[in-house]
Amino acid sequence: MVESTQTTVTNLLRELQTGNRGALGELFPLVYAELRMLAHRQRQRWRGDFTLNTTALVHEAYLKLVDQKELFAASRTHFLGVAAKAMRHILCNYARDRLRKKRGGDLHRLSLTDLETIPAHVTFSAEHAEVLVALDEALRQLETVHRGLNDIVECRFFGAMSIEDTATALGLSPATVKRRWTLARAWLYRAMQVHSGHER
Amino acid sequence: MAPQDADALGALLDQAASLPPEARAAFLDRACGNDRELRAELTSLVAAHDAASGYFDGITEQIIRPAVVALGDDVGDEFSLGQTIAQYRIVERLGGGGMGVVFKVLDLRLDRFVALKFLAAHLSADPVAKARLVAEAKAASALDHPNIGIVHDIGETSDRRLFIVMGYYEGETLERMNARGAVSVRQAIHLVKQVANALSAAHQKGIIHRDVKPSNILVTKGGTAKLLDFGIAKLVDSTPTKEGATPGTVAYMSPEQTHGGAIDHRTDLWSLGVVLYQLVAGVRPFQGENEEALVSAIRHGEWQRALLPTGELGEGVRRILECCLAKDPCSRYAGAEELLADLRALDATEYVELTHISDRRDRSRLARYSGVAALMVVFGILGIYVGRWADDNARPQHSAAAQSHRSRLAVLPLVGVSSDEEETYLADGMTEELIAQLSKIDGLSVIARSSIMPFKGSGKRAHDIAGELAVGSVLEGSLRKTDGQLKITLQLVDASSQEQVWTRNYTAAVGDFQGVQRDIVLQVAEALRMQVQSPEHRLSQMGTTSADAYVLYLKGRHFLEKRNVDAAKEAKDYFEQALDLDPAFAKAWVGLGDTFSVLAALEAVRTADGYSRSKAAAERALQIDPDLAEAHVCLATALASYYWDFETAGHHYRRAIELNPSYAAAHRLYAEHLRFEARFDEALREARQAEELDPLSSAPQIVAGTILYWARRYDEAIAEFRRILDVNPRFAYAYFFLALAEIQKHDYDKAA
Repeated sequence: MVESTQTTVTNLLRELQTGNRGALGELFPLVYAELRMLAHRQRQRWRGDFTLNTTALVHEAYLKLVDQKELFAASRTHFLGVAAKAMRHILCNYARDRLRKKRGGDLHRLSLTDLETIPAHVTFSAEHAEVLVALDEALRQLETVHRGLNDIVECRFFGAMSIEDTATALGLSPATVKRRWTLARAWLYRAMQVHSGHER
Repeated sequence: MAPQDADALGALLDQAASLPPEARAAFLDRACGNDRELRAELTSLVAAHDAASGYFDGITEQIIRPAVVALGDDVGDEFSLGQTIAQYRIVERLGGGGMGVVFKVLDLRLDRFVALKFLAAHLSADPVAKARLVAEAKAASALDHPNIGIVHDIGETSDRRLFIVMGYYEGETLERMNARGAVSVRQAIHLVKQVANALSAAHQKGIIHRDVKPSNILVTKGGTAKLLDFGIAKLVDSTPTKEGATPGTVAYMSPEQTHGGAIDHRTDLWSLGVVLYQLVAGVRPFQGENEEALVSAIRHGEWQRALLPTGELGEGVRRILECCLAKDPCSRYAGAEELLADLRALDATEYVELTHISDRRDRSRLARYSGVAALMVVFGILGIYVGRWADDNARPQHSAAAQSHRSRLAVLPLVGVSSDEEETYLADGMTEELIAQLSKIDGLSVIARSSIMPFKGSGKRAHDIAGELAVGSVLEGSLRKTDGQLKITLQLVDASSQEQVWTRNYTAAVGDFQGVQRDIVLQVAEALRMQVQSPEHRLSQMGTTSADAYVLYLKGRHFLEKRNVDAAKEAKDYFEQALDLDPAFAKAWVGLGDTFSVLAALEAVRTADGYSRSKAAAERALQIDPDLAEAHVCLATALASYYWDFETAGHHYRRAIELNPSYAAAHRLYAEHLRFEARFDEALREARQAEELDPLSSAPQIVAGTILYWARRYDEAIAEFRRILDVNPRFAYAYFFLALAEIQKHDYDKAA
């Protein structure tokens, strides 16, 4: 059980490295599930202090899902690339979910007496969620205009990866990554500005 | 917009952005030439560029990290305190993990606290997982045992998030207690015994826990262990990738569980063995640097016997562990009952050992509390029992005669430790509460307050009192109030063996005693081997969250009990003050209603006013709590005494008795009611029941006598009145009826 997931992930990563992009489709759900679960677990472990971050999470997932003896160090960056993509989906879906709930449904129908009570402390507010959702939508647009740029953004933002790691994971030169990264940021910012302007 | 080459665009943007703002326009002119579209795109991107760096630099820290943290909490932050979901209002977050978040919530429909566990989104989304979970929760909800955290219900929010409604218990998990180093070997045995008891009950119903571990064992303030998350823990914690391999959980897995294959009830015995070892030895029996090493240790490793305590106790624990921690399930205990039997035996030896040490101290202390039959010496925070009455160390043996009395319990008046006035009210009030609560144990008759109070300060020994009241067990104890906290020490004494069955200390805020009362009831029920049917449903609560209101209520009851006009007026003030603080305090409404009935009967107020206000107060109480037996009696009394609505009154008396079969006053008043309706046989039966529950009071006997009189059974009536006068020769009312009966027999000489 434990072994099999690790073996599957390790084999899929090897295929990905040898150029089989189809492996990504199989790898993605496994990494996605692991990360989602780890987010809960890690949160439990680190409750109180604020050390939980994507890097730690992705690293933990890597250690659990990949048999390091079997693979070269380069596989780690490939894994990180997949994990970053998974992270984007997890976090943006989560943000969307939160906004949807905030805006309606049973859970927010508070009676007058409810309003007197103090709400629980919120670290991740609706505003945060809106930013993430806007970012996700801008990324989708970017994907249609400039294919591949979203990969870089995912690695940088959601995988907290360096330019070099991103380059390795995506099989690009660091200079290319840097150029595309500059473009992607300006592009996204502009798109999000339009979006938020539109909202207001 | 036409797609442009990202690399070319990026390169130009990079260059433009690196130039000072005033040089950018010229650069773009040169670079774009006639391509006006490119020029426009680049101009807009350059404008966005500078702001973008600043904006996105903070995104990791400000947006993504909080998102990850919030995601970890998952359902946690989606719900906020004070929010209402179905009939549950969120009061407090109790914890949360991979499986979801647990809240303390107020069930607005039943007005009680319960725990609500929301399941993680991925579980709620998977129909197969969902179906399994519902089935398991259903099975678990059938488990009704004092050592099992009750599962009330399973439900779904409008956005299809599953939640499980469970009993809410105040206390802390064994994991936390253990981390504080708060568990002694004695306690460990005692707690593990209770968990074994829970497992035994569950396994009999074919339910396996699968995840016995310290964080799933809650120890209430009263010292009762509750095994939580029955049947659901493992399901809930399973994940799509690896089933149940939570790091903390692997340590308690049985070898067969680590293989992921078939398991049976014996896996729980292993896990409980691990818990016991950890509690006693201070470390887990199997350890490993990582999961793999840990699994290997569980499958093949030996556990350290040397870490167990020495002496008889340690040896006993070792023997038990040998039978729990056998790798092959077939070499373990065959069932939880076997384990339970061994733990019970060990629990008993432990007491014997301690008795020798404690006897002397016990006696020297005893002398100080001359007014009390006995009080126990208390050691430690949790008040582990050390005192003992008799020298014989035999385990409880019940004679045949005692068995028949076993189902009768007397709660002796709690004794205030200091002479503080408020403590006296509280002690009397708490005694009454305990009588009311314990009456709800099925098959147990609890002696009424009026037959208990004569023993207050009498100095009689529990054993003698038990004889007088013909009860099998006596519950007695003391109460102390310090800094808004109540400390109650109780001991249950078996009358026939004179054995102290158990002793417990309870501490809680004055207004927060309902949880403790529930624990007391459950523990007494367990000690007497009796069942409390759905304790959560049947045990009424104190009915107020205001400590001050509760104390005022108790004071009111204290004064009302004196049954004179001045005291009743004082009682009225107290009940009204209590209601000012908490208008939803049903029992205070009943108190007020009873007070008006008393004032009307004593002719201190106009009859019409007194009973109409009594009726209104009782109705108000019933609106708040339709299951409050005292409110039904109060209403019935007003209806019968003034409104002459006997039919409705009869209905309310019957309902009160149904709600609380040990309610002596309800039986007595209903007997009188039946007499008015000339249903003499039924009336007599009720009167006799009242008498059994309230053996020292003359009131039920007078009722019986008058019933016999009106039934024209004069000889029996005469015998009844003589019996009353033997005990209480100054009871004028009895003489009056005795004379009447003899007149009816035309025995005028005697009547004179």
